[in-house]
Amino acid sequence: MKFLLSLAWKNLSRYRRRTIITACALAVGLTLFIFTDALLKGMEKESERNLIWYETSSAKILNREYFNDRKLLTLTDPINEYQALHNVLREESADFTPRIVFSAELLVYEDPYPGDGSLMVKAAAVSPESDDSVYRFQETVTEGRYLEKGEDGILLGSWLAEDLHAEVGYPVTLVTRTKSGYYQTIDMEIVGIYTCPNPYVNRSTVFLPISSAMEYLEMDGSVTEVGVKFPMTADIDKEAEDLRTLINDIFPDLEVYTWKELAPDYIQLAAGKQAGSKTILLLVLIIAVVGISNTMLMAIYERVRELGMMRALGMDDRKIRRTFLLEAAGIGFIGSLLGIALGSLITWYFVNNGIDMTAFTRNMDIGYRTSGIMRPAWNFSTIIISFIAGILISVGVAFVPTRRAMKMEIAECLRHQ
Amino acid sequence: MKLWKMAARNIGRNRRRSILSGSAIAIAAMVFVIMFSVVEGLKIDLTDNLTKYFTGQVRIRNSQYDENEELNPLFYNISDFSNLLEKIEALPEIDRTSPRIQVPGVIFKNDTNYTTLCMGVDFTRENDFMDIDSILISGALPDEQEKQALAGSGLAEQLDLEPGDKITLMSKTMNRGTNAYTFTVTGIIQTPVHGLNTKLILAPLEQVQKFVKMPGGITEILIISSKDSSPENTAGILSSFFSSSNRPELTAVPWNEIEGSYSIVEIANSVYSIIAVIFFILGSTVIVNTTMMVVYERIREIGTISALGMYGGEIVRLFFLEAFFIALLGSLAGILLGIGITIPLSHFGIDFSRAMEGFTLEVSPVFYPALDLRSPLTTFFYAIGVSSIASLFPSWRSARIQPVEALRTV
Amino acid sequence: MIALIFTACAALHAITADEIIEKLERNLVHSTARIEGEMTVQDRFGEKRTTFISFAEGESKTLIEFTSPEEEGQKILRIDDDIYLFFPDAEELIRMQGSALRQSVLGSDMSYEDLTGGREMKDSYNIVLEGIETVDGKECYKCVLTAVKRNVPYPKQIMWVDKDLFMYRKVEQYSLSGRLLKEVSVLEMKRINSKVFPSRTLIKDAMKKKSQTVFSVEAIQVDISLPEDIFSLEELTW
Repeated sequence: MKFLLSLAWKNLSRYRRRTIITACALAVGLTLFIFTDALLKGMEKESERNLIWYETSSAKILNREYFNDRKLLTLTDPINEYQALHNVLREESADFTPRIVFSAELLVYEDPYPGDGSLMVKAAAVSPESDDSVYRFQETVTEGRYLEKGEDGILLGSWLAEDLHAEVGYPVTLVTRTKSGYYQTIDMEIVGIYTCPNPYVNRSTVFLPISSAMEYLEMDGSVTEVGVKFPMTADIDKEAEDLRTLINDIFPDLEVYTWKELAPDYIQLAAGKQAGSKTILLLVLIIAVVGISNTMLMAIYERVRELGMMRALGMDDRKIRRTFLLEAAGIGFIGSLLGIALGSLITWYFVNNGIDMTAFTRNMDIGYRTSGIMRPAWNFSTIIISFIAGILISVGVAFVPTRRAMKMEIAECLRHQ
Repeated sequence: MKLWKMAARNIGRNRRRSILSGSAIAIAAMVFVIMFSVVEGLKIDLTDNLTKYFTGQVRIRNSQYDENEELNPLFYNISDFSNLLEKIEALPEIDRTSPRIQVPGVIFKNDTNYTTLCMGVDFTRENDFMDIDSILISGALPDEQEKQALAGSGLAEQLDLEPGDKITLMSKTMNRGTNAYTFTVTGIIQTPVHGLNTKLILAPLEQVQKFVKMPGGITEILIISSKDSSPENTAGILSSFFSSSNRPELTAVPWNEIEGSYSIVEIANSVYSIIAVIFFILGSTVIVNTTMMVVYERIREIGTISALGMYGGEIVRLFFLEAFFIALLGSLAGILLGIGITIPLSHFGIDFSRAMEGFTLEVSPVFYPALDLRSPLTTFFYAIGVSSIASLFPSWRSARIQPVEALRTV
Repeated sequence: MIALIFTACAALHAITADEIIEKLERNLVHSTARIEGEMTVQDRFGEKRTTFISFAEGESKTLIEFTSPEEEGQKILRIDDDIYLFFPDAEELIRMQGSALRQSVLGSDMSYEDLTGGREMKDSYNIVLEGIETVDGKECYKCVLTAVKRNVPYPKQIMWVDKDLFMYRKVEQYSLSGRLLKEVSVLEMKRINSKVFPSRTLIKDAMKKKSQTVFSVEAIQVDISLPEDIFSLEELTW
């Protein structure tokens, strides 16, 4: 075996040009396959990320009754036992944050605004300390600053601010109802304006500190939801199940809902887009395989005479075949290595820098949630599979012509062109 | 001896090699054609959905409606529209029209309320515009004289609706009063836009006019312009038409200027451009690679003919012609194969529902590749170009090697 | 000087806040009533007039039938805290519940919620008499109502009740933070039998400049006999 290996190796280095060209064909094919896959996955992930980072978090703990009517944003079915829940979750070292979400009418008046105006908004009262461990709003503030605990400050989405001609420092008034139904007015000052990549949120949501809302809305310590974050690579359903077992017994009214349950319309949309992505990937794969096979075949056929000579010299058929296949494997190995190295490099570059597609981000009413910068996403399984596939394809492709050559008369082999 | 005859004979003599390199080019060409059709299909799907259901290619509205859009101000409507519509349809730049009324109606049921988008349409015109027959999945079209309507599949599922069931919608009327209207659902429709299916109620125009007490008025007219007029051009024509017919309150906006809708098309376009670049690189490397291999493989042959007296330039031209012919045949074969595969796919669509991890999907993610004459043509010339040029370098290199060296190569 | 204060105090202590409100409520509630009225709504888009005939029994049942052409045939039935809407073009009644009650009736400054709710203000509010003030040239008891139960929309109201007629001339309704939300002014009062009723009322939205509603009573009959099933769902669908 060692002899064959060294023979194979010597051959590879002797016919450097052939080896390099073939290995390159393989490398290029794999590189582009890996990159395309990463790009398409990145797009998928980004939509998902926009949903999870800014709307649903990985999962939410809600009162069961609240879930059914969650679109109505009422305060009638909150999580009353929040303090106890808070303690339980803290012991588990989970990343969680409470929110009080309600609907309100936002009123602005002439001076400093250009005129009087009113708009229905979704108001999310968040905890400035813990919200960022679950959501990512702090980094989206583009003007002014993020919220501080207990203040009468409000954060406006940039598109909302634009529609109202609002600026940092301007006053707004929210008209809403307390938990028991009293009319309530909350006078706030805009402390910051945020621009997050999720257009739904940008257009309709304002943020204020949860302690202020707790007081103004007379919540008596209740909150409407608790957002929980699971690590991005974790199995969401399993984590949710674990959480469920934890809280179901102690809090029979509460239930854990994963982001998939919270945004079923997004799932439908994503599935549709996947069809397109998979087709494209398949086509890339076809070309890559063709490229590899072609070059490989040519390389083998080129050496039929050599093979004939080895047979004529009395080398064992099986050993000859093994040599050739080892060479093919060798080329495959070099090519695959090069391919995944290059593919990873390109992916790494764009993961960090993104592909900028500015000026496309306004208003999207059709359910897509994406922003202006496209980023590929690491897909390690694809990289590993590509590596193995590269070697297998090379060997597989080399197999047929080698066998053909073995079956030919030695003389024929020697005469081969 | 004529060079091209030599080239042709060489190709025939070394069938294996020719087939190998020819098929590489053929497959690359085929994949290109398919891929472009897929991309074109996806793009058309996107713009189609946009123009059919949301914006048309040009959208006519009362200018003050847009300013106050969130309040759905029905009183800023297009009044006396039938007269206007006739005149608009007479313009040569107009291909199809869709007069519509959009009403956010609320359904109160089971202790909760559902916000719907009730769209009043002219079903005769809409059949051309939206192609309702193709999206009707059960039941039949409503009778325009009756209080009947179609419901979106998502909405039907939520409310457990079937043809024959009744729904009652409540809304503000044109004069800021309130009204409620009961419709009998005669059929269920399923558009490719999922978000629409969970909200859409499609009802006859006159019925919705009665619902919101807006006789003779509608909220918008969507236009598909004729093939020789761009949406911008048509919008311009319409704008001048409005000023000259004393309807200054109306605006005609081409779809790419309607806030928000077009950007998604632009994003899709850029994504597809990137993917197209990737394909080109890949395809080119395959073709180049193959061609180069072919030439290098025949270094001894080159040495022989060189020794026999053929000089460098001729050798290069010979190999060029060989590569050219192979590319010609391969390209042609590939393109025909590509077209052959795309045509049935464009009828039946590509359905990946089985690959979707078992979600219960109401809409199967089917899309239809669209064949465009441009792509096969471009692919044809491109494949030939690339491989011919690819042959130049190696053959030039090889021709320069001393015949003796070349003959010694194994 | 001191004597005057004593007299003033004596006058004040002669009646309690609760009693004032009781007398007010007695004026507002009739055993039965039939009212022909008109509502004019003004908002940033313009003015809108609606006419109606309403029937009431006690403080828990009301039937409003609209007579203006735009609302022809529409009816609102209120039984205790339930509201049902009838529209001629709808084949079923629409029941307004929960948060839907907070919507305004025909775009006016009155919500469906305002139609419900008992008149027993004593139960839901703590009432304090803060003295006498003049409104429109007439002396009124200024009563401050602070909610003690959580089932009312306004946690604080101030009512200026006419000293002689025991009908409010002005009511201010506040949010929990103390911001003025609505201002109700009675522009004209009339007598019927032994009771006083507001014949022209103006409701202003204090948060929005151009928003106001005027209710005027064109004709009123009280203590009449009403058909038996008038406040029933079946009647509503006729």
